[in-house]
Amino acid sequence: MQTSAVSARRASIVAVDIHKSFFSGAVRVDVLRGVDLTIRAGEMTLISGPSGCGKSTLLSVISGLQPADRGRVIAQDTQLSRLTSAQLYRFRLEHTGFVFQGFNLFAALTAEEQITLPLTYMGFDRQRARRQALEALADVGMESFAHARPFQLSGGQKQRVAIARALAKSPRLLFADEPTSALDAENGQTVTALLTRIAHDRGATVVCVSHDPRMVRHADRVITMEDGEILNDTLSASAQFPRQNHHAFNA
Amino acid sequence: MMLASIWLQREWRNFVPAVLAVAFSCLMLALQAALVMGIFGSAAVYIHSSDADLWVGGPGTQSVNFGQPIGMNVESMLRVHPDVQAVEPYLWVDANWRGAPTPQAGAAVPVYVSGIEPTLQGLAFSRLLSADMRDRLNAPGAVIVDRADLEQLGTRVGERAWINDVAVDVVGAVAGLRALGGVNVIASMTTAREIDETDQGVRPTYLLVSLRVGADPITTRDALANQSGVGPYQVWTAEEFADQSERYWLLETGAGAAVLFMAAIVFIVGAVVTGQALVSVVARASREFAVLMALGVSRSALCRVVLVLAALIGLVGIVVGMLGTLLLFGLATWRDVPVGMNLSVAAVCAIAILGLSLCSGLFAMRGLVQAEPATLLR
Repeated sequence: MQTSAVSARRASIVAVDIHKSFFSGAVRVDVLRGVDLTIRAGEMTLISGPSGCGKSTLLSVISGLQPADRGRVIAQDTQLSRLTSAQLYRFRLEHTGFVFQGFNLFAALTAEEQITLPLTYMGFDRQRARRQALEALADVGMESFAHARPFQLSGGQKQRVAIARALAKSPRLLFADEPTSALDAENGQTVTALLTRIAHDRGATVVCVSHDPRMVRHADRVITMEDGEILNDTLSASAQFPRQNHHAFNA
Repeated sequence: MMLASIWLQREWRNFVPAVLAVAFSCLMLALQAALVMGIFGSAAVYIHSSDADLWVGGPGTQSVNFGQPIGMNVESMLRVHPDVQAVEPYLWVDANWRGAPTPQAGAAVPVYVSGIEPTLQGLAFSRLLSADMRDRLNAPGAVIVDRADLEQLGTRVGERAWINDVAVDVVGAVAGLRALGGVNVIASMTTAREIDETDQGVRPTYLLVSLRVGADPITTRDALANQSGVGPYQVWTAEEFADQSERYWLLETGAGAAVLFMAAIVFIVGAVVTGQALVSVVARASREFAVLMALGVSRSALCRVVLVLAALIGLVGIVVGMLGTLLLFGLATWRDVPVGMNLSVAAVCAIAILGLSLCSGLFAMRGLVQAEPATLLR
């Protein structure tokens, strides 16, 4: 199914034989059953499937938020299971961005401060952090809301600030969990387009978990899961025949 | 620092319970310290309100109120030292006061009579008695008491009372003479000797010594100590004797242990209440903290945020608590309740409260336990 153009894209996440189980009382529930997956940079990959199919667990394992019971995850040429807790934090700080369904913005901070906060932990000085925060806000069309606090923003605006927070540190890996489910049609469309552009224009690896049909239409690749296994793995036409000229990011 | 300070400034309403808990703990601790200093400091009111550089008394005297008569020839020995400017006798008499119309009527109130030289240049109670008050003491049977003790003594200024069946006239009342253990009465040396029922005769309890300008009290104390042939005595600097008297009451009577116990209770209760107030605020922001952890901010870095937050709450609480303490100090002074404070004790209280806040911060880190980034994925 893959074309030569697709194969040429660099694999940025490789998951091999991933198993993950949880206990519900005395009952063991196998959430992931030997998942093999290669995700490439420059694509917006969508993981879809019914509730309880294991898609969010897969996202948490390949993003390094929790370890697999068995199998290995190699992200950005680093095997995550070999990292210590401190190294894993460092890896996430340097390489990953997250967007969650809940916007989870600090009520006390302005949009700009929400973004500069993680940057200061990366060692950025105040000026550089501020400059990157404003650029990230401009990328998501929120530059005029830099001084707004969460209670002054709509749901869509909050999600765009959350995306800017994830984007500001220029992550190579961007993970999003149901990023549009709390948004209306227009804002959902905007956020979906944003995530797609981040993959295409920045060459970042974008992995979304969603069952929002709007996202399916924009995704380069749709992975469908069921009962802890990959049921289907489909590439869109645009992914099979990628554009020769990237759009300017703000276009 | 950035998150903690901005959080505290902009969401200050959420932190009011924690700040109030710290402020209340600060108030309790400072008031306890002030009362201890005031009450136990009053054990040395005789020394603090006098201008003597050295005190000379019976050897091994633990506190100023336990004085014993010393030999008459000690005074002569003191006077010949070149650094000694003046020597003044001080007579301590334990007695009973009756304020009723006759010497035998009514209940007796135990009093400490201080017999002093009421001259204008006198050293004893020089910081407490005005020239006019000292002059009034020259009248036979004249005594001065603390204005707050008048009610307990059942008398008023200008009235007659009896001490050890000797008629005395209350010629004045002053502020700042209240002391631990009994009511203080100041009289002239002549009146005090009349009141004294013991056989100490003309022997003083203490000799108060003032030194020439530039003389070092410690050097002179050492020079005056261990002189042979004048009977047993001991020399203290005023500061040493005051400290010794206060320490006796604080440590030897068990009162100090009670105070320390109360301070420990204030510390523990304050830390738990503040920590509880803080943990709920931190727990409410657990999802936001979890996002930061997902983005790679370590749990230990976030623990530092909570600690800085606790320290800032501590600083604000200390300011509020100290303001409250000052208000209560004013009230206590107005009501003649002995309170005392100095910079070093205030600093110790502030450091203890800051420690309390940091302990509450450690306690509040429990709120971060709920911050688990994997739980943000639904």
